[in-house]
Amino acid sequence: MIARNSLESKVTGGAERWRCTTIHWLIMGQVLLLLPHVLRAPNWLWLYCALLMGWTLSRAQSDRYAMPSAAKLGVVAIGVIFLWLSFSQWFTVMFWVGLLALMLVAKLIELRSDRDAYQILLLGFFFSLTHFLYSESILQTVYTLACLWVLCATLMLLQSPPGSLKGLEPLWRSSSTLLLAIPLLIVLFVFFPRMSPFWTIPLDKNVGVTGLSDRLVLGDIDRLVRSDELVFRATFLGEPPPSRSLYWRTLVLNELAGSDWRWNPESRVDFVPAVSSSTLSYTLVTQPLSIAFVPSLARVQRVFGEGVRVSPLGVVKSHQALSSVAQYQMQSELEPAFDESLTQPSRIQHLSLSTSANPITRAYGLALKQQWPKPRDRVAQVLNWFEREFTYTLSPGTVSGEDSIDTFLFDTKRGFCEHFAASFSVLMRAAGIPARVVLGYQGGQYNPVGNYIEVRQFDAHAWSEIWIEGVGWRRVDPTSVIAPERIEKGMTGMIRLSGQTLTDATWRYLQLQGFAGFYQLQQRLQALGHLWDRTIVNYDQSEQWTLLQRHWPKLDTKHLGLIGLVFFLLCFGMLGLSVLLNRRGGERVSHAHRWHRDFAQCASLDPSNPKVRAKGVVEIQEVWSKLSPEEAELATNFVHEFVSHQYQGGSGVLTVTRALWQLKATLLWWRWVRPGKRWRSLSRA
Amino acid sequence: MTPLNRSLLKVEEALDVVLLGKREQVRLALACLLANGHLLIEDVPGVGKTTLALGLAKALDLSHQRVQFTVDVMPSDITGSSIYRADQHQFEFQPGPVFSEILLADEINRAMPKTQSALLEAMEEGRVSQDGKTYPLPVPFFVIATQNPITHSGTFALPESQKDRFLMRLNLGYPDQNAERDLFHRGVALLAMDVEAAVITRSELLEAKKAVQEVNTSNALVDYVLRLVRYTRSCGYFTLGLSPRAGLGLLSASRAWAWLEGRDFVMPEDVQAVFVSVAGHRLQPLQGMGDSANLGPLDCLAEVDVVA
Repeated sequence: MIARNSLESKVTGGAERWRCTTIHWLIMGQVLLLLPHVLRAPNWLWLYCALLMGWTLSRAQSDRYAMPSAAKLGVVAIGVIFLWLSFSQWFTVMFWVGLLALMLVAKLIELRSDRDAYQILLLGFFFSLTHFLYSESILQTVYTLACLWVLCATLMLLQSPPGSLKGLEPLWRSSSTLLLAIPLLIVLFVFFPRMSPFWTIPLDKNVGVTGLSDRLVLGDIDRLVRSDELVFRATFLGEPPPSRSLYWRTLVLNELAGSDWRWNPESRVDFVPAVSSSTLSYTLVTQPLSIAFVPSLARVQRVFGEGVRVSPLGVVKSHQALSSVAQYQMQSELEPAFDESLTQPSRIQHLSLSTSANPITRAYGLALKQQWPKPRDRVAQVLNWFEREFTYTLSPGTVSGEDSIDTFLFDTKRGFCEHFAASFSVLMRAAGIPARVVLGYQGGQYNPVGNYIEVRQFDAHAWSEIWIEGVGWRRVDPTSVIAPERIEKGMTGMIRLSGQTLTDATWRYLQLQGFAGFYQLQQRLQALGHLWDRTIVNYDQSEQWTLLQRHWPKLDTKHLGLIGLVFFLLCFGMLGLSVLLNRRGGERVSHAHRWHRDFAQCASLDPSNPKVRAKGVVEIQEVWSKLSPEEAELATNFVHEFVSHQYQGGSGVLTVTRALWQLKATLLWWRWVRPGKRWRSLSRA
Repeated sequence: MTPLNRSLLKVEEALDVVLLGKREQVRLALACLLANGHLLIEDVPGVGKTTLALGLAKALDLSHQRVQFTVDVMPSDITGSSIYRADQHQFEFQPGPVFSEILLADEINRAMPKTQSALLEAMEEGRVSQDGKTYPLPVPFFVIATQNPITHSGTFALPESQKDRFLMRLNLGYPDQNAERDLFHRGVALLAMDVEAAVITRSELLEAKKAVQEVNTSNALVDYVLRLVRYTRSCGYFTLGLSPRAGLGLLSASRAWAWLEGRDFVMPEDVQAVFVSVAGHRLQPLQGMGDSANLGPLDCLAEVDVVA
């Protein structure tokens, strides 16, 4: 009958421009939403999205609406097929994010009515969540909020009459709405039940993310040194220990295969909790890592956190990779005052050497063992040799092959921590001293603003641990004798001193630190980030429970459910009340308006059409009676009462409302229930 | 439907005999007179303008005079002039044709603006000033003017302010097919002379005018009229929107229409029925503005909500 009130039917005069601005806003929101993922998905996807957006924009200017269904299907199918081909596996998160992005943008080509625009916005709100799959930082949160702001502005634009909001006005309008929502945000954040996820998404974090691995192949840490990515921040209870004693043990490599060191989880080393007076308490907030180990200081005794325990090798093991920001409280013994014993199987394990690889090293070890009966002397001898003849450099050239330890020790003699640690431990084993390699981080940067120590990937370090009868496991860091400044000044100081040129992130990081003002600002920002991680990102079920219990000590889980129920009922009640009040508000929608609207609907006319709104009820009845005289006849009573109320000062509000209800009920009966009439009215429609 | 209504409808029927198929225009003309307004009939020659004007005058039993306007008609030819009476040694005012209850001003736009304005002054103020004396015009006083479309040669267009003095402007238009066939069968056009004389009495007419004034306009209706009038100012289709005088005229014309429909209250449908006639000559469409150039009063009606 009369066209639906759609974008299409509004295309006249100013409405055309209005439609155009809506499309601009929609596309702006989409571009903002997609931006954080730009480097994560293949470039062609973004090119494809840009093409679709461009097509929509060009269409917005002209009147070429139609894209055949087959073409739409083709556009989506091509996108999905390419996505499939470029990811080749469907269970990575980025594949699904890419698919969602494709759907979000491809919906543009279907944009015909307001409803499609609302769907795009809804999908946009959903899509904004994917940002947090990759980062939960304060910057990301602010950015995503900005995206939501734009989406809300677009909603505002869609809801307001065409042409009433110009330029950036929708933004200012929606900002007040968002500000009003902040109290609700806080309440929901604090009180909304936090459940542990029912399933976990396999995040493809390992791809392209640097980090320690549970194997030591010579040359690995070099890769880490080139990254300034944050690993964790540690806050100490009291004064933090000096940088040189901060050896963050993360992984223990206890198995030697040829020249490669590996982590063997099946090793049986008895872990004896120490009893000592000098414990060190500290808190770690870790960033997402690809490994399932949490760095800790030597002789960690206790760890508090979700899904972690102290493993027999004295490192903190998590049951899964640390995929999100997490907080751990730890206690370590600084000077274990006891004598550890080594069981026979683990002694054998820690002395085992490949019988074929590195013959020169084995021979030299044997010689040492014969020359110096005391293990301490052998260690001193080797360290002395290292100090005299070895050079610390971050660009040692490649050392590889089965006998790479031999090549390094007796040929190149140039390397960095992992070369020293790996070869020292091999040599120790050859000399009959149980030894292993420890991977982790050394030192870190103290941030005075947040009073914490910040450790980045370039602080990665490797060192050795040897077992000496009567003393137990002892840390020996061969790097500290070759390049003591690496330990004293940290990696950053080391690079500065040595003047080595690094053309990458680390170097930029160091250069930026040169500007005092910038450095301070950076420290402040980092401290803020730390606070964010600790309080917001790490706010989980237990934190929530602790907080609630602190204020309401007698709180019970049952009460919490009840409170939640009451809160939601209250919210819905308020929502319902506002809807009711809106209906009652005579200024906004008068009785007469509602009656007129409903009556037009009864007459199968579209009440949102201005032409229908411009018709009086009598005229509407006439139009109706042309379509179906017997139906229009039913409306006589209502028309009489309406006219009487509106223009004669006669019937009251109730009388008219009753007449309208009677009309509606009769129509219902007339159209659908009355036997024999049903098919006629359908065929007429 | 009171007896008074019925007798007014008899006037309509009497005119319908001579003006075939123009019932709506006849009713509008009646409504205009009942609302105490002057009437302007505009159309091409030969469609019955003069017949309608004369027929109305005859059927209503009012004294009427007819002036055929030409370029050389002077103001005094309308209002009258003072003549020196030698026997009494004084000037005596000789009233012109304006001193009648119905003045038929034929082809008003062929007169010079000077003459037009003399007539229009009389219309607005209901009196004539001559030589420092004021002579009141009779009550009721109607002017029924006819004019050819302004694009025709030898015409002086009425200025906006003077058009505003006419409550309504009617376009008769060509008769429809059936009416014209009847006319041709009849062979000759019936003239106003053939209208049945004095269908209603003078007192009935005055009574009817009084009844029209008492027709009720509710708040909702006044609001609707207000929206309409304000819309003509804000919609941007016209050089000027409707004046408050036009709004008042619209209300009283609607009252008259409602009364002729047999009601004692006005409905939006009444306003819509008279709107084009009341507003049409007061709204000058903007020239050369693309689509909006073709927009007129009817579009306003289609764009203003009946209920708020």
